[in-house]
This record gives sequence, structure tokens and C-alpha cells, in this order.
Amino acid sequence: MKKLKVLALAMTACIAGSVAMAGCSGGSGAGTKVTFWANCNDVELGVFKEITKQFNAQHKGEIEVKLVSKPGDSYGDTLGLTLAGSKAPDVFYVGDNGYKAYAEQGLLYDITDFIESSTIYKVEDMWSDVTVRYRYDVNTRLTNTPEGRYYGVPKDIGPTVIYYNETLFTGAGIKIISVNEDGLKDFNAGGEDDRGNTKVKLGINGEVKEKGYFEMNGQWYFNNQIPMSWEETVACANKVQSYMRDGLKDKSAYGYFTEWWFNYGWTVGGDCIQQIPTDNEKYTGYYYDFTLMDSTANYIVADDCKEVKVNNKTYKAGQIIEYSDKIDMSAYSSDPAGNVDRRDTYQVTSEVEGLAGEGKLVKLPSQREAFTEFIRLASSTSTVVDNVDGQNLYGYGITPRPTDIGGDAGKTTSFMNGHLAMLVDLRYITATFRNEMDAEYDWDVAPLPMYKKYDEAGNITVHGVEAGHSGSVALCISSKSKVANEAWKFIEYCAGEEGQSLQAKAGFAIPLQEKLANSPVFLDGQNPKNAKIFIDAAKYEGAGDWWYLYNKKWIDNWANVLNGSVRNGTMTMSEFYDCKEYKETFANLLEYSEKKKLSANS
Amino acid sequence: MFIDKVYRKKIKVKREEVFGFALSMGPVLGFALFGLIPMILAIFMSFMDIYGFTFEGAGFVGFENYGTVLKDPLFWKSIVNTLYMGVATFINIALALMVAFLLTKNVRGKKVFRTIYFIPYVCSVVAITVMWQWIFNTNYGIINAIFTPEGQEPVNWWGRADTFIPCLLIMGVWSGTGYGIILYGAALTNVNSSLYEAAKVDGANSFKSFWHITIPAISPTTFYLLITGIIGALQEFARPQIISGSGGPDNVGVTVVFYLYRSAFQYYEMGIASATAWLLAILIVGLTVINFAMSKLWVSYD
Repeated sequence: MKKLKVLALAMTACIAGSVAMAGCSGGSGAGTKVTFWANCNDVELGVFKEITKQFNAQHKGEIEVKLVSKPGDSYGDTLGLTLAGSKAPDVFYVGDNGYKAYAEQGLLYDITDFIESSTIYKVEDMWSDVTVRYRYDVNTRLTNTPEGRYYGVPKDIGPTVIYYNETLFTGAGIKIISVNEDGLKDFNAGGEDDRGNTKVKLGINGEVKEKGYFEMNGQWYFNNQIPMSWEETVACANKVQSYMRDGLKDKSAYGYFTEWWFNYGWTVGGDCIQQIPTDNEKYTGYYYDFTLMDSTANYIVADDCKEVKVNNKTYKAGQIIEYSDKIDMSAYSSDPAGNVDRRDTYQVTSEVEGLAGEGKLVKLPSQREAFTEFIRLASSTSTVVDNVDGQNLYGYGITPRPTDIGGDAGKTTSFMNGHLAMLVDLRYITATFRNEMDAEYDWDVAPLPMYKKYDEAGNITVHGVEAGHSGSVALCISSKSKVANEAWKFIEYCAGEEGQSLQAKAGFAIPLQEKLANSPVFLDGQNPKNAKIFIDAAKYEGAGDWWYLYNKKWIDNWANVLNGSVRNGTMTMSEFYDCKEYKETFANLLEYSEKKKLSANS
Repeated sequence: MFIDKVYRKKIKVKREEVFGFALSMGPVLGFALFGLIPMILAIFMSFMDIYGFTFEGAGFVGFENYGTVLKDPLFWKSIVNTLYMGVATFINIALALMVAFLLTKNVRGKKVFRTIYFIPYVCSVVAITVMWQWIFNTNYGIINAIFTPEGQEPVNWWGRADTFIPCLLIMGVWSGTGYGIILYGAALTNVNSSLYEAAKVDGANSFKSFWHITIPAISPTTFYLLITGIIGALQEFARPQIISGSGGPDNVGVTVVFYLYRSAFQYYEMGIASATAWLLAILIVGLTVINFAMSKLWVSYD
């Protein structure tokens, strides 16, 4: 018994001693402690360990950042609850679908003053879209308004591109060209493309047009610097898919995979919601209309028309007319609650139709047509996706359905194992492909598809714009942090050139600074060789629809029907348009701009 | 001496009481902290307009949250989905009884069978769900590999609204039957064998003995399995959430708890989530009360 007591006392003394020692090491000698939660994969974690190490070494005795890895899908749930409690980390990742909600709940530190006085984090040097998406007004719930405040900075920017398996393309008999629109003239005159190939080397004896995928004298070519049209995308995917299924006996192989409709809708100027101004006192000056299947045509200013005025707004050549300028907005009710089902209610203005008649504006497909084209990718060739003017539109069967491919891991694995020829994905996955694919496959990247039509000679007659979405994760500070200044210094370091260079070298991110992105720090010669496609994409790509409003409630209801019955061929697009989940969305959207909801939290 | 003994005894009793009280405080405190207080808070929150994880800016709105939930078609759909998934409870009970009864016979290696049947029950629900997710995968799943005729398109089991829940039912029966087999195994061995002998003397055949002796004798076990099974089924969440985090095709994966979870942690509508929680609690209590009332008709404790 006595021995036990002695042992217990000794252990107590040891524990007390350790605690005291730990207390000393965390005191003034080590500097102010900043806790940092990172929600990332192993590659990224390794980089952030290095960033933290370097930052701590530079601020020895002043600031010590403690990195805590928080992997897993439930990070968002854990973070929200922790931020509301008293043990919140000082710095943490916030996904773009949680940022606005946390800001509104007062869980994030307003870092606008830090940003405005920083000499390291300079908004003007960065990709504009990715920085301004974090400028948010919690009172009006609008993004990038002058009253908006910053509650986070982008950790990085990850545009979407097409990753393609070049080994499979070659096997399918497709030759690769790598020349952009500006370089075509020189290439046609006998010059080299970016891989050092000439027309002679590639066996081309005709004029190469501005096409992403084309046939010449019986040979198929894929230009990895020019966006494919919708038809080219399907044709190219079918060609490689046939080779994989018939030649390689991979019966479940697919040619193409994308899970996002943004590229299709945005290239013609469509979108799933539109802001409608109102003077109704119930709302804060606007409400949202649901336009996912809006069937009104879109319009773009003709290339040969320098500029044109529409609804008193000036548009330049190649610009798409905004919804609020092409539609007769006076037809919208100021009290939307009394007119909830607003499908097929609105018309294009006579002004727009007149300008189109004069040739100043060129007609583009409607959002509905673009969205239908996206749905056709994954629907089987025997599935009737829609019936338009008595004609059945069948699926293309070139894309596995999201439920089959098994989420992010599934699509990545399919591509890495050669079961998928083309994959639309974000930049972050590059590091994984380098590790897993370089030994077995040649692979590269290409721009996302774009709406285009050609004449018989192969010249573009109508085109949309290059479009797609980019992902981004924010670095934020807890509103309860007692070391906000030190936390900001760390964020500033991560978002500054040093931190961005380290991230870029690892391959999963594009530097936030445009200049840095265009330097060898990013264009370092590693796979993918066509890396400048990411830089081009970063210029025009924006945030996905989950970023539009403060939560995803308005999306989930109809999206599950779309990804269920519609994509399984038991519901046509027309039936989807008439289903209750689609119609309910009009009413569900109203609460996002109601004054009552805002005042409770502002 | 006598008085001393009495006092000592008294002191001893008191110490035991204190010790017992101290031991019981663990679970009591646990329940108070993680059960009672959240329940009370949820009642208050269900009458408040709370956005996010803070009471700041929240106000009382009466029964508005309850009205919102009850008027939401998706809530009613979630109840239908939950009850549909709950069908597995009844299949489990019937199948467990059948297998347990067979295992009372002189089957070779019946202990091994019992263990094999019980293994899925003790496995992680996440692991089991992921495994079944792959079994029913359209392109790579073993089900389609075996049953899809050449030239025909494979079935997208998890992507179709009409096959999503049946797949979950198969998974539920596979993983949930083992528990019932063990309980029924114990119950069947405890049935008084003299009753069977008496029945045999009276000329009853095997089926009549089973129907008139075995079923009533094991009815408390059936009742227990039914009550716990129904309560568990009404709280279904993890499996549909793992298979389709967004709620499944046509929202067939949205159970009541999924609806609640999404309201709280994805939409940050704590008032709505709390009201849903209480509506679910009322539903569970209601069904349990009905079950207990009905049990008088068929459960025999003799």
C-alpha cells in the first residue's frame, strides 16, 4: 500500500512537472501561440507544415503557429460548432459553402483593415474574381459590393480544366497539337507548335482551323490549347471511348466526365438564378428568380460590332447581354410572393430582338438548351432526355453518372487507372496525378468546352464565351481570437509570395499573384506541360452556384430530382420543369432576400 | 459494545449509500449534460428563430418553426422514406426467428454460423455501407457483373429512386439479422421443454407446437426486438447519408434525422432542426405507446 502511495506521488510530481515545463515553453520564450486548423490531403498538409515551419523560424520568439490537421468530410460541421464554442482555433480553412454563413453568424473576424493596410497581401496584384468573392456584405447578403467586408483571404485558386489521358488519345489514333488561337497563323505557315511539332511532322496538309478536335484527310487531331465545341467534345469522347471499350476491352470505360453544369450554362450567358430588383418593402431591394431552365435565347455582341447599347448599357464585341438587360423587367411583379410560379413568364425585349435583326447581336442557345446539353452527357444513348418540337433528344452516353463513379475519389481513381479519358477537375488534383500517373501514362490539360458553330469551311460563325468555375478555400480568423494581429501575420505569409510559391511548387495550387503564376515558380516544366491553360482559366472562371447564397437549401431539393429520375432516364427535362421540386424553388428562393431574415442577424 | 455495533453498521450502510450514489452519478451526470439539458434547450430553440450556433439575435416565434416543418413537403417525404426503410425491422425479425429456430436443431457447426451471422452487426456501419455501395455500383459492382445480360444496360441501383431504398433494405437485413438470431437463440433454449412434451402427448404436430408454444413463449423477445428496431429505424441517418450526402435520387435518401441534420449543420436553421427533433420524438413516443398498448394482446410473460 505504501509503495503504491509513493508511486502515485511520484507520478503526480512527474505530471505536475511536465505541465509546468510545458507552460514555460509556451510562455514568452516561444512567442504568442496561434492555432491553425488545416483541412487537406497529405500532399497539402506537407506543404503547410513547411510553411508553418518557415514562418515560425522567421518569427522566432515572437509568434509560434501550431498546425492541427483536421482531415475528413465532416470538417465543416466540426468547425461551425467549435467556432461557436470557446475553443475556436485562431486561423482555419473555410470552404466556399460555409464562408457566408459563418460571416453572418459573426464567427469570422473582419480583416478588411488588415488587408487594406497590408504591404504583402495586395488585392490589385491578384486574380480579381477570387479575391472579390470574399468581399461580403452581411446586411444585404450581396457579394463584392462597396459596403462589403473581407472575412477571409483565398488560400489559393483552383480553376477547372479538362485533364486528358494522352496515352489513350494516341491509342485511339488521335494526334495532339498544342497551339493557341494567336499562334495558328504562324503554325499554318510552317511554324512549330508549343511542343516543337510542325504541320509536316504531324502529317497535316491543309489549313488548321480554330477547332479543339477535328479531322483532316482521315486523321483526327486534338488541339489542347483551343476549346472544343459541344459537338467536338462528344465526338472526341466517343472516339476514345470506343477505343477503350472495343480495343482495350474495358467495357465500363468512358470518354468524358464532368459533374458541373456551369461551363455549359455560362458559355452562353445563362445561369440558374437571377437577381430581380423590387421596391417591395418585404425585401431588401431585390429577390431571386429561378432560371435554371429559362428558355429565352441569349445574345452576344457580334465580333464585327465594336460596341452596342442595350437598355442604356454599353456592351463591347464578344460580351453577352445580361439577363436584366435582355428581359423586359417591367413584367416582373414587385410582390413575387403573389406570383410564385414564374416559369415561362418573361420575354426578350423588342430592343434586343431588333439589334439581333440588325446583326449587332448574335443569338445563342438558352440556358435550358445549354443545361439539356449537359444532362445528355451522362444519359445513355437509349434515354430520351427531352422532346423538343416533336423530336426526341437522346443521351450521349459518354459520361459515367455521379452515383456510379463514387464521388471525388471515384472520378480521380477512374482517370488515374485509365478508365476515363477526360476528366473536368480543379487544379488541386494535379499533385495526385503527378504521383500516380507519370510512370504509366502521358497526360496533360486542355481548356473547357465552349459553345461554337462553324461554317462549311470550318470558320467560326457563332460562339459563346470561355467559362467555368474555380474552387477556392478561404483562410479566416476566428472572431473570438485574442491574437488576431499575429494570426493575420500568418495568413499574410501564406497568401504572400513566399507561401504561394511553396504551394505552387507542390502542384496543387496556382499562386494568387498573377505575376507569380506567370513565372517559372508555377510554369516549372513538370506535368501538365500545358499548365498555362490554368492561368487562362483563372482569368475568367468564377465561383460555383453553392457560393451564390448563404446556404445550399435552395439547391438540394431540385438537384436530387435532377440527379435521380432525370439522369436515369425516367423523367424528361420537360417533366422535370413541371415537377413540384422545380416549382417549389421559386418560393424557396424568396426567403434569401427577405428583410425579416436579415434583420435577425445583422 | 452493542451500541458501537449498531453505529458501525449504520456508518457502514451510509458509506455504501454514498459509494452507490457516487457510482450512479456518472451516468446521471452524463444524461443530464448530454441528454436532458440539450433536450430542454431544444424545446426552447424550437420556439425561436435561431440562425447558426448562437442565441444572439434570436427571438421567440411561437409555433412558427413547427408550422414551417409541417408545411414542408420534404419533411413528409422524409417520414415516408424513414418508414419505408423501417420495413427492414420486420424482415429482420422474421428472418432471425427462422434462422435461430433452424440453429436450435442439431446443425453441425452452429456456433460458427451464429458467429458469422453476428459479425455484420458488430462491424462499423460506415465500412458496411461503403462495401454495399460498391456491391451495387453500376459499372464495377458484383451484382451487375453477375446479373446484367450481355448487351443490356446495367442498373444504376443507387441512382434510381425506385431501387435506392430496396438496396438499403437488403443491406439492413444482411447486417441486422444477426442480433435477432442471438436473442432468439437464447429465448428458444429457455422455452420450457415440458410444454412440448405435453403438446406431443396431446397429438400436436411440429407446426402447432411452434405456433402455440414457441411463438407465445418468445413473444417478450419479439416485442423487445420490435420496439428497439422501430426506434432505431426512425433514427436512420448514417447509411443514406454515406451513400448520398445530398439526399439521394428524388430525395428518397432524406430520412427525418437527415432532414434534421441538414437543417442544423448545412442550413444553420437551429429552430427548424429543434422543431423537427421534437416532432420526431413525438412520433417515436406515439408509436412506442401504441406498441405497448398492442403488446397486451400478443405478448405473454408467463
